[in-house]
Formats: sequence, structure tokens, C-alpha cells
Amino acid sequence: MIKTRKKKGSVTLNASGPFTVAEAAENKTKLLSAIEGANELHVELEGVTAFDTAGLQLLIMLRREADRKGVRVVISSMSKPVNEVLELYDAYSMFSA
Amino acid sequence: MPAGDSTKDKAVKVFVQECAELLAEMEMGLLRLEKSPGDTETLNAVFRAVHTVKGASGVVGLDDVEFFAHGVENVLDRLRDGDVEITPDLTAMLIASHDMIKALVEASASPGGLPQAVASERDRMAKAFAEYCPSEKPCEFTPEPEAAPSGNPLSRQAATANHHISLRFGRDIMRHGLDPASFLSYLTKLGEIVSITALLDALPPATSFDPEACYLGLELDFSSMRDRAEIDEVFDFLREDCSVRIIPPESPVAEYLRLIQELPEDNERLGDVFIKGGALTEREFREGMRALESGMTEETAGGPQEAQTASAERGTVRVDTARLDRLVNAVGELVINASAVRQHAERLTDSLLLSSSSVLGKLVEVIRDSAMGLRMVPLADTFGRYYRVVRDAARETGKEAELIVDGGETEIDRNVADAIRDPLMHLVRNAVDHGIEPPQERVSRGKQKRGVIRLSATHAGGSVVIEVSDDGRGIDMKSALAKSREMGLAGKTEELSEAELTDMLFRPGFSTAPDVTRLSGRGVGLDVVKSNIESLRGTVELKSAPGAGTSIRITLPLTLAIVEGFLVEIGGRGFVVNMDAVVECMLLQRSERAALKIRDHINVRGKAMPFLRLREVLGVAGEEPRFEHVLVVRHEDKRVGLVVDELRGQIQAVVKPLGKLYSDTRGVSGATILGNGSVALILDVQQMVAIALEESAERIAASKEASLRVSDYPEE
Repeated sequence: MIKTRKKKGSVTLNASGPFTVAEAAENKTKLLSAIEGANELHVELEGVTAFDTAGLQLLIMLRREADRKGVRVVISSMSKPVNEVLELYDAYSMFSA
Repeated sequence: MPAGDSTKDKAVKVFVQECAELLAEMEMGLLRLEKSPGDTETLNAVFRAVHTVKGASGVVGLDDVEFFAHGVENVLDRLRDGDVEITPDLTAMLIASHDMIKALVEASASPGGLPQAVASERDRMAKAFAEYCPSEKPCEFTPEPEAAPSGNPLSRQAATANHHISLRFGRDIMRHGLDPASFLSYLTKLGEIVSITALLDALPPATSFDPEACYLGLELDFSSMRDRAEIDEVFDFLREDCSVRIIPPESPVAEYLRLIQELPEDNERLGDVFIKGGALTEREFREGMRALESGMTEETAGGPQEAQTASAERGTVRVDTARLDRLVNAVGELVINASAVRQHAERLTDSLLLSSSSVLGKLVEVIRDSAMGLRMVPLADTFGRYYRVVRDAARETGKEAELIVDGGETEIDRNVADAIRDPLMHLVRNAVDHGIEPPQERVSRGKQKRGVIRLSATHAGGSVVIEVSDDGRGIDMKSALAKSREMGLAGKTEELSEAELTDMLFRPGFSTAPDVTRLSGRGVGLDVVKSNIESLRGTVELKSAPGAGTSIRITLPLTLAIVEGFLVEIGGRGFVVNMDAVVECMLLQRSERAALKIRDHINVRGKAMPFLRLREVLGVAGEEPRFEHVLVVRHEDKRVGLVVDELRGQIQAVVKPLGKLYSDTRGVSGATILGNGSVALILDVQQMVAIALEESAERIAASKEASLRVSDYPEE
């Protein structure tokens, strides 16, 4: 599940529950619409209970799209499952500012 | 089918070129050492040159060259260490060894192997050198025991101790319930993932991104004690839909590079990834890629690496001369067309077009100058060969002579440089052989024991002037006269002027040498030199002072290709004169015009000078124009007025050679195509001046004769 908070161009996305291939299609739509009109995007993942390669791909796609639109993306928090996958792929550099 | 042979040939070819330069350095250095034996810097330079030849020849597999060079290197090493004294004899032997290395390289690069004569000479030299070296530190002419690294960077083993695993996942694996992350997790149980790089080049833009598809690629470097089979097993379930490649540790560099080439991402980027992960070192990657690019494979015997680094250090580029010529040709066409554009622009008087075409013209000029510059080489390259020639010729004839070069930085078109190499060689040899006297004779004449041969070069106008002069005995005019009579070129009692005698020297078969030496004096010299030079649109002149020396001056065009010219019109036809030869131009006043019909000279600002009515000289038909102009041109110190119809101004003429039909036409040296497509002949100013002077002389002679008949005074 993804909850969105908007405050003057700064958008916060809070994901909770599973963030895997099963939720991927739905999540894609949510994520992309969140970027529209935003200056900044904060992604909170501390509530994510399951995370896989599909989830990682989505985040990377989000990052690329945001870069393209000139929107700053920050992953402000993450849960253990997210951490594990990022470590496995040594993918932290993909999300550094 | 291994590409072995042709790539090895390529490697050998590059080696031969590099080696030629190294050998030239070696020779130069040895000649210098001969004069100043204490010059340790030069000794070191010679050593380095031989050392590089040895290494490079070993890498291309030319054993004969390598072994011999190794021996020479040994000798030089002993010299450097001071274990052996440098004597004139030893220096002479070293110079001879340079010739031997050259011969060995030539023999190795051509089919048929080493001729017996060369092999025996080489063995003799090796023995002779051995005598020179102290018994405690002998000079080895046999292969070094040290293990030379394999010359082929592709067959070398990579240093990495890890497995390199490359994965490109199929789009649908996640839909089928497989997650790459779980494979990675499993791998970590078998060993350590030392490095992992995720590549998402295949990730499409957001709109076409399928969130359930897998676009991932992975490059892993994996350290494990497990064997290859076990690691392979990990990916069994993936093999059907994904690309799985595993390279075991210490595989040949070629395998990694092959993988890099086969993977979809950019080679350089993958190279960085492999280097980051430790699969390849930076050096392994670079050298390997270079080798692959030059067409080598793992089976190739070895590459000229040392040679390559040497030229990279020097910061130059080798260009195929055919390619260079094609470029210059294309630039020539560009020049013509840019010129045409400008003419049209001027006609249309559109200011924007005019300014654009003017900018275009300037740019074309820059390109033209660069392109022409590419063809230019300094004469020092050509002249440098003759130091050896003079030295050898002097030794053979028992004389002392040295070569002094002046103006070696003067540049000339490379084709012209190639063409004058042999004629100049002949002149230089001649100078030593016939010009310079034996030492005792020189001393008795109050000269220095050692004769001087001077080679100089300068730019003058649109030409290069090369002079070969010596301070020897000069041309013996008496023998020249005798020889002329003997050859039937002059009557038994006929006296010839100095100019006429000098001309004789350039006749075929003419030689005043009392004995025919091996070098020259066979009488095939000067005439061949002259015709060679003339075929390059150059001229040869000879001046001599008995007892003092001889000087031969060669004038050559700077370049055969593009000429900065002045366009004139006669009878509607265009003619071009080299801009450097133009002094001034003016309208021909009516009074002067009338006077020219009877006078033999033209009056230019109070000075009288010979003139030519080009209309007549060139046989241009048509009626006379209302106005005529004079173009004053000069060759050396002589000036001539050329009478033409119109003056059209400066143009750039791309010189096209005249066909055989017109090559003997005097006064014309080429042709060019004007912007409007018509052909304009290029006038040879030197010849024009000569014609003008001849006509002038004829007229004077004719009028003299006429006056003689009238008066009884004897000829002055």
C-alpha cells in the first residue's frame, strides 16, 4: 500500500506491506503520478514487509523518471527486507543524492 | 582458421618501420661517436636504440635480428661500463653492425630466409666482436636465458583468482516466479560475492516500463573454493530464459574480452565494470583491446608492443600515404569549388551570401594550408642520409671529408623529397669523389686537410633552393673542353664559353673524371640528375671556380599541388602565374603600346626591361583588345613584362599536370580548372623569363649585325 502526502511541491510516499512483483503494476501507477508536479519526492520504506527485484526495479525506474523531470528523490527510510535486497545488489549508489 | 599469417605480417610491417627509425638513430649516434668518442650521452642513446630493436624484434619473433642485436647491445653495455675502450676500429665495427642489423631485418621481412652471404658475414662479425670483449665478461650473441613474457596480451592469463559470472535475465522470469535475488542469496552460501554490478541499460522509459518484467543484468566476481561444476549448477534453472556466462579464474584475457564484446552494453563501460570487479586489470583490458583491434587473436605469435608504446610516447600518428594523397586531392577539389562559390556570390551581390562565402573561403584556406602542411617534410630527413654517404665515400677514396647541413628545417612536399633523394645522393658522392682533393694535395694548396661538402636549403619565392657545394678542386674547364671536342660536341678549334662548357657537363655520357671509380665517374651522372629534377618542374645550375670548389644549385617547386596564383586573360582565355613571381601590374599606356611594336624593351617607371607579348608567344587567336595590361614578373634577379589583355586577380590554382601532349611545351608548367569550369594554363615564369631574354638577345644580335654591315668597326 502506498500513501501519498503532498505539501507545497514536496511529496512524501509512504509504502507499507509487501512491495514485490505482485504489487508492482499498481505501485508503478502510484509512483509515477506522485512525481507529477512535485519538486521533491521522499520515499519512506520502513513499513515494507517484503521486497524483491521487482520492487528494486520500480524504485530505479522512479529514480530515473524523476531525474529526467528534474525532481529530487530521496529514500528517507527503509525496512530490513529492503535493506537486504539493496545490500545483495550493492545498489545503494543508485539512490544516493 | 587462425588469422595468424596476415596479422603477423602486419605486426612485422609495423616493426620494420619502427626499426628503420631506431636504426637511423643508431647510425647517427655512431657517426657522432666516431668524431667525439667521449660522448657518453650519445653512447647511451645508441645503446637504447639497439636495446629497443632487440626487444621489439623478439616480440615479433624475428630471432636472427634479436640475437644479433642482443650481441651488439652487449658490446655497447661493456662500453658503457668502461670494461672496453672505445677505439676507432671498434666504432667502425659498430657502424658495420648497424648495416648488418639492417640486412637481417630486410632478410627476415622477406620470403626466402637469410642468404648464406649475410649469415656468414654475421658470424664473422660476431667472432670479431667476441675478440673485443674481455674474457671475464664475454659478449653473448645467443639468446638470453631470461623468460620473456608472452608477447601476445590475449593469450596471457588474467591475474584474477575469482570466477567472473555474467548474467542477463530473461524478461519473463519474475512472472514465472523466479527472482534473481534468490540466486544471489544462494551464491553467497557457496562463496563470497567480491563485487557485483547491476546493469539496467535495458530498463525502458517509464511509459513503456513493464513492472512485472525483468530488465536486469549482473556482472559478478565470485570467490569460492567450490569447483566450476558446482557453481554452474546454481544457475541451472535460469539457463533456459537467461544468458549465463561463467569465466573461471586465471582464464586467458581473450575470453574476458570476447565476453565483453558479446555483451550488449558498451565495451568501454563493461571494461570499467570488469576492472572495478577485479576480473581484469586496467592493463590487461587496454592491451587486450588494442591487440584485438589490430586483428590479433590468441594464436598470434606476438605483437609489437614496445614499438607501439614507443610511437605513442612520441606523440605522432602514422598515416597511410595513399590516404593522405586522397585527402589532399579532395582538398584540392574543395578549393576549386569554394572559389566557384565565391565567384557566383560576387555575381549575385547578395550580401549574406557574400559574407558566408567569404567565411567559407577563409576556412577552406585554413584546411588547404593544413592539408598541404601534412605533405611537407623537413629536408633534414632527406639530408640526414648523406652523412653516412660522405663518410663512406671519403674512406673508400682515401680522402677526408665532412658534410655540413644548413637549413634542414626547410620543408618540402614529401613526394618531391622522395624524388630528389637519389639525384642528391649522386651529387654528394660526386663532390667527394671528384671534387674534394686527397689530403696532401689540399694541404699543398693551403686548404684544410678535411674537405667540406655543404648541403643547404632555403625557401625563395614559391620554390625551394637546394645547394650542394664543395671546397674542392672545381671543374677543370680545360678537360671539359677537351672532352667536348672528343665527343664531337665542339669543333677541334672551337672555343666554348664557360656557360657553354657547363652545359656540356649535363650531357649524357659526359665525364671528365680520369678514372672511373666505383662510385661515380661512369658518365651517367649529371644528365640523369638534370632530367630527374626537370621532371619535378625544377632546375639545375652549376657554378665552379677552379681550385676553389663547385656548387650545384637545384630549384624545386614547394609543392606540386596547389599554387597561389595571379589570373590573367588573353583572348578570353585564362592563364595563371605563380603569385610569388608577380612584382606589379599596370595598364599599358597607349604611347608605350605603340612603341613596343618597334622597341625591344618596355619602359616600366623609367626602367627598361624585356617583355613578351603573350598573345604571340602563346599563339592566342582573336583580335587585339582595346586595352592591354602588363604583368611584371620576376625570376631570381631578372624581370620581364608580360603583356596580356586583362588582369583578373588572385586565385588559388589546384595544379593538374599537363598530359603527354603538352609536357614539352615551353613556358607552360601545368593547368588548372577555374571556378567557371574553364581550363587555364599555368605559366612557368622561369621559362618565360628565359624566352624573353632569348628574344631580347636575338633582337639585339639582329640589330648589331645590321649595324655591323653598316659600319666597319670590329665587334666589341
